[in-house]
Amino acid sequence: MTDDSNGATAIAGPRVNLLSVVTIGFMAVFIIGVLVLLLTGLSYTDYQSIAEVLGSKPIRAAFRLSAVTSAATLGLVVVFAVPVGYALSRYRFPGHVVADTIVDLPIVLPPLVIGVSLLGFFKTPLGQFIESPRGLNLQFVYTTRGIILCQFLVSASYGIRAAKAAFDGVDRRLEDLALTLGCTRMQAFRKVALPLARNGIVAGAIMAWARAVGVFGPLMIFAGAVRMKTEVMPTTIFLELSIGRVEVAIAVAIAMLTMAAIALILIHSLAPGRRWWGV
Amino acid sequence: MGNGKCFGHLAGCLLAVAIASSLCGCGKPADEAALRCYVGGTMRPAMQELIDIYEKETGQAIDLDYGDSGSCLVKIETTGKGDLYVAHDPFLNALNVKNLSRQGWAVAAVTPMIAVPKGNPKNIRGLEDLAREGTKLGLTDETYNTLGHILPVMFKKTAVQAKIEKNIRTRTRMGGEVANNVSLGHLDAAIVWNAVIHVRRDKLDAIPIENRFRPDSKVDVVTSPTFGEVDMSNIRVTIATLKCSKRPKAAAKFAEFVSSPRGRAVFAKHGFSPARSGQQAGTPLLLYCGAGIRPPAAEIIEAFNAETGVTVEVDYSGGGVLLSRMKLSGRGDLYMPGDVEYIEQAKELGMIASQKSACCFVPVILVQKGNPKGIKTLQDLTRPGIRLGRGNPDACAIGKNCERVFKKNKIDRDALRKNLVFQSVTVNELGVQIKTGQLDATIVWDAIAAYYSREAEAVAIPPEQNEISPVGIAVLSFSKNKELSRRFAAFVAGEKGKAIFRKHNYTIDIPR
Repeated sequence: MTDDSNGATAIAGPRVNLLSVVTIGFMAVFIIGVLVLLLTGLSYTDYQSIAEVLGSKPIRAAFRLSAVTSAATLGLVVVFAVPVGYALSRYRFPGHVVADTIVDLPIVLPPLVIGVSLLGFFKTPLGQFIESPRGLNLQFVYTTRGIILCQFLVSASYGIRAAKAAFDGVDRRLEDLALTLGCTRMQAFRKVALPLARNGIVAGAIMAWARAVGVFGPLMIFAGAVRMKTEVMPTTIFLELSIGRVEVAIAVAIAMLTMAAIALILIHSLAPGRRWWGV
Repeated sequence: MGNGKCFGHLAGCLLAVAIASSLCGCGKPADEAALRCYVGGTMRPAMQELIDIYEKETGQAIDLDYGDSGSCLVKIETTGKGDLYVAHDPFLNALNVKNLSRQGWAVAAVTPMIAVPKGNPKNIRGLEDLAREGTKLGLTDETYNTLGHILPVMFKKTAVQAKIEKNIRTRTRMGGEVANNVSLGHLDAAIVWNAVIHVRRDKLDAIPIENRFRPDSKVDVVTSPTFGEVDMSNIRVTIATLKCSKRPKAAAKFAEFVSSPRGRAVFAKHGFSPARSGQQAGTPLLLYCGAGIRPPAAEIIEAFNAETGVTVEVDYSGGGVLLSRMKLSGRGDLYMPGDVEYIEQAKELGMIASQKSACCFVPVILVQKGNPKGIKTLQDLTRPGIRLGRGNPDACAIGKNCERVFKKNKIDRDALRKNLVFQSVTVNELGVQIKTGQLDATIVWDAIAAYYSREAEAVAIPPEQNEISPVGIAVLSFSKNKELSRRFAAFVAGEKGKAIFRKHNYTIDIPR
């Protein structure tokens, strides 16, 4: 038995049977599909475009900004997902169903609508108060902070959903048992529930991060598409496509995928119990 | 539990990054000193080049925020942030309808063309070739795209509308998308703006659409509540300064740079058509102009338009007539009557914000070619048998001035009255009367005399006997475009204006 990152267990014993052939077959089809798509993308670009992408100052800045903002978003998502997921999983309160539903809403909402709504919000007195130098003086519209806010709103639901599912999967009685052994509620959460839910939370965080890196629609509206300032990688792709440089756009996408792959591998390898390079 | 610790560290790091970046520097508004310029459609490469030049020359930083014209409009409306907006028609109209623009300039135009893969493998030579069976055609959306809206008008003019429509494989929101599809080989042709093809010129060729299929000005005009009236035959690229701009002067300066001949040249380089001259963007200036100054005024207005893209509409009439018109309407921007006294009157009514002197009107005696009656002095006008003509003092500047000259030289009124056979409402008619031989002598401005130099002769009045009338140009106090009006006034009074006055034989400086 081998522990996997998701806490699942792999089957030991003979591997070739109807079930394994069917399931692995489906997996192969999907993976081949993704790879074909990637290779087609690669065929549209060329060495020169990739070199141009790596050498271009605005594109490098976009790359950096994507990395920084998505990392910040990931941090914020984790900060929110853990308590919100726990609360939704453990406590029953009036309006629980409503709260549970609202948490999921941003997933359904077209990202563009989130951008427009954010713009609208910062036009209201409360929004003005947040932005105005006489109020909180926290500018969001057309700033990096705005990018993080957009990414967070679009991706947080994935993290929360996953955290809730993870806590749901932790047997409540284990926490109660910890109480009988002298733990406080907080200690029971930290020492029992959180470690047991960790894998689910990590998986959710990865989903959220992936979503955050790819966010584009609301950014266009809320943070703008200003080179060197609020341009992230999806913006770059859009900008390049808008002037017909398909090969450069694809090259940027490949750079983005490389970044994502490295980050995913890093997260996977840091997650406990994961020996991802071997079985 | 080593891995667990790692995980904890990672989470800690992320949290630190999150807190640091959301609270510290990166929430700083994108450079307070930079102007924000929204750029829609295909204008980004040209505008980026202009911004780079401008930043280098003036040090004024400008943030180019790109998006489709519609979402830029949404951003302007909801954020109330930004200084400039570059779009093509009909979005400037939309901006005006929503009362968000301060001033607009037309800098270029876009023309629909057929985009085909490099080398034109399907040999498409015009609009009707798109009807050929099996041609894979891509167009832009009929409702959400300006060009998409115009296409049916052009197709209707061909004999093969139905066949063309059968060939349509896709309709996209933005022209760039169909153009990309052509360059990727999925389509044989697409109809997009010339500039859209130009940025892809290494992959696409542009085939012009025959003039007979293009929309007609005046005929193919649509009016909508959002966009106002749109002339499909001339889709202008415009730059506008925004009402919400906190630094309208700096914004206008950049807009003027963009609409200057240099800016227009950059647009031409990027494959745009030139802005049709005489085309206005935004609100034009209204000039009340004395009829006697018409030829140079018209030329100056043209020169001003070429330099700035700003249109000046003119109401030509006698100075007094114009004054009452201004009084009644309470609108307009500039006033240039033939006699400075009218400006004085307007000033008393509180209608003048500022004024500059433009040129001088020097009265001369105009006689028939060869001066058959031998008229040499003002006194000669009273000689019996001279058929004399003059301007009506109540209607036009020359009449007023004539009165002063006669008074100054104590010319016998009765004798004058006896000789007087014609009174005109504008100075121009007097020249015609001499030319046709109806009059022996009259008093007109030197420039008018020069205009008739083939058919008539001018006799100068000695400066000490003369009353030279300075012509001023005034900015009206109720003008809604004072800054731009002042610029026009300065242009008229400046070197370029003076050169045009001189060319039309107007006197610039009072002769001593």
